[in-house]
Amino acid sequence: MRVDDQVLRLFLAGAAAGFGVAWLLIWRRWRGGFVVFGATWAAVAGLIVFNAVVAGEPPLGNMYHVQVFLAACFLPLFGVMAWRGGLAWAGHYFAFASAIPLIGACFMDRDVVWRRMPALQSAWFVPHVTTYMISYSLATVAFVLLVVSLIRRKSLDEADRSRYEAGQYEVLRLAFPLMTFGMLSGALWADAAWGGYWSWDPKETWSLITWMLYLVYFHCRKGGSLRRLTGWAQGLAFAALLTTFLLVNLLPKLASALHSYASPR
Amino acid sequence: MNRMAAAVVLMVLLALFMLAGAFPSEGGTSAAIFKTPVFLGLAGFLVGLILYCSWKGGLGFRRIGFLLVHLGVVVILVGALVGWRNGEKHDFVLPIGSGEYVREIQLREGGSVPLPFGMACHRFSVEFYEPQGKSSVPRLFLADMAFQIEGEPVREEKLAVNHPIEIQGWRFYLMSYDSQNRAYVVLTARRDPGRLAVVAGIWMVIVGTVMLGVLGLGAGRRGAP
Repeated sequence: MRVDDQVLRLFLAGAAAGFGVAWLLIWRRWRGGFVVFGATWAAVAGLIVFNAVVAGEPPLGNMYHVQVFLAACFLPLFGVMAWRGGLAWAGHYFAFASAIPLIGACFMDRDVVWRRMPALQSAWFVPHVTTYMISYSLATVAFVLLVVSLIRRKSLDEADRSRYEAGQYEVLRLAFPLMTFGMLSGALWADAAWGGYWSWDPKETWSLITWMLYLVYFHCRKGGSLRRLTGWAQGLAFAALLTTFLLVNLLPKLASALHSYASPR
Repeated sequence: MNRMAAAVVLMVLLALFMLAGAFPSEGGTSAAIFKTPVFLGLAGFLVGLILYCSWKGGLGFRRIGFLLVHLGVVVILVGALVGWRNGEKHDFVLPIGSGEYVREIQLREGGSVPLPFGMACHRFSVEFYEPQGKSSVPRLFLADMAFQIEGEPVREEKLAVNHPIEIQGWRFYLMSYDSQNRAYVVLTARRDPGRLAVVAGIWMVIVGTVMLGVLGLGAGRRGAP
C-alpha cells in the first residue's frame, strides 16, 4: 500500500495541534478539553492500527512507529494515574506530553513499511519496546511536573509544592518497574540473540545510567536531608533517558552497533 | 554518613564511571573499562552495602519487594562475576555441508578449545522479504545442525537467530554467514556457569520492583493544586 508522506506529515501535525488544544482547554478549565484529548487520541490510535496493517508487523519497527505509539500512551496512563495515583488534576500535562513525540515525528523519516529482520523476530521484542515506551511516557510527565513546579515555585504555596512533588513520585513509581522490565527483558533477549545478556554497548550503558539515576532519585526521596536533591536527580535521570532514547536512533554512526536496526548492516 | 547517603554516593560514582564507557571509541568498544579494578571495586562496595542494608532491615512480609530487588542485584553481580572468571565465549566459523564433525573450536588468535562432542552444519538457508527499492531485508537465517555425542544417536537441531542451541553446558548462537559463497556460518560458542544465577537475579529484580512500585501505587497525596 502506498502512503503519501505529505498526508502523513499533515496528519501528525494536526494530531499534535489537537493535543495542544486539549492541553490549553484542560489547563484553563474550559469545556471540551477531554473531548478533544480523547478524539485526538482516537485518531492517533487509528494511525497505529494503520501502521500495523501496512507493516504487517507490530508497528514498533522504527522511530516514526515508536513516536506515534508513544503519543498514544499518555491518555490511558492519565486514566490509571487519575484512578490510582491521585493525579486527576494533572490531565493537561499528559495532553501536553502527548504532542511532543508527534512534533518529533514530523521532522524525521516516516517509514510506514517495516520488514522485521531475524534479530528482531523474538517474543521479547514487543514487551521490551512497549514497557520502555510506557515508562518513558510517564518519566516525561514527571519531568514536566518538575519543570512546572520549578517555574512556578514562587507562586505555589507549601501544599501545592508538595502535591507536585507527590505527583512526580506517584508517576515515577509506576514508570520505574516498567523501565526495569524494559531494561532487563532486553538483557534476557540479548542472552538469546547476541550470545550474552550484557555487552556494554553504548545504548545498554546509557540505559543503565538512566536506571541508576532514577534509583538515586528514589533513594534521595527516602533519605531525610537528601530529599532536597530529588529534583536534581530526576532532572539528570531524564537527561540520561533522552540520551538513551535518541542516541542510537538519531546518531547511529556515533553510537550503538548492536541496537541500530534503521538500515541494513 | 548514613546508609542512604552512602548508597546515593556509590550510585552516583557508578553512574559517573559508566559515563566514561558510554561513548563509542574509535576502532572498538570502550567496554574494557568495566573490567578495571576501580569499577569492580565499586561493584564490590555496592554488594557489601546492599547486604548490610538487607541485614539491618530484618525480615517481614512488607520487605519482600525490597529484599527481592536488592538481593536480586547481588545475585546478578555474583553470577556475572562467576561467568566472567569461569566462563568462555568464542566466535568461530563452521563449514556448511562438509560432512565432517568438528570437535574443537579454532580460535582466531590461534590455538583451539576442545568440545566434548562433534558438531556439523549440514545446510544453511537464507530467505529475503520482497525487495523494495534497492534494499533487501533478510527474513530468515536457518542452519541445520547435527551434534555427535558419544554413546548417543546423532542429534539434529535447527539453529536460528534468537534461538540458540544448548548442549552439554555450551550454548551456540547463529551470528553470521558467508554471504558470498555460502561456504561457512559464523557461530558464537558460550559456556557460562553464572548464567542461571544472572537470569534468576533478573527475575528477582523485576518482581521486586513491581511489588515496590506498582502495587504500592496511590500512597501519595491527592487533590488539585
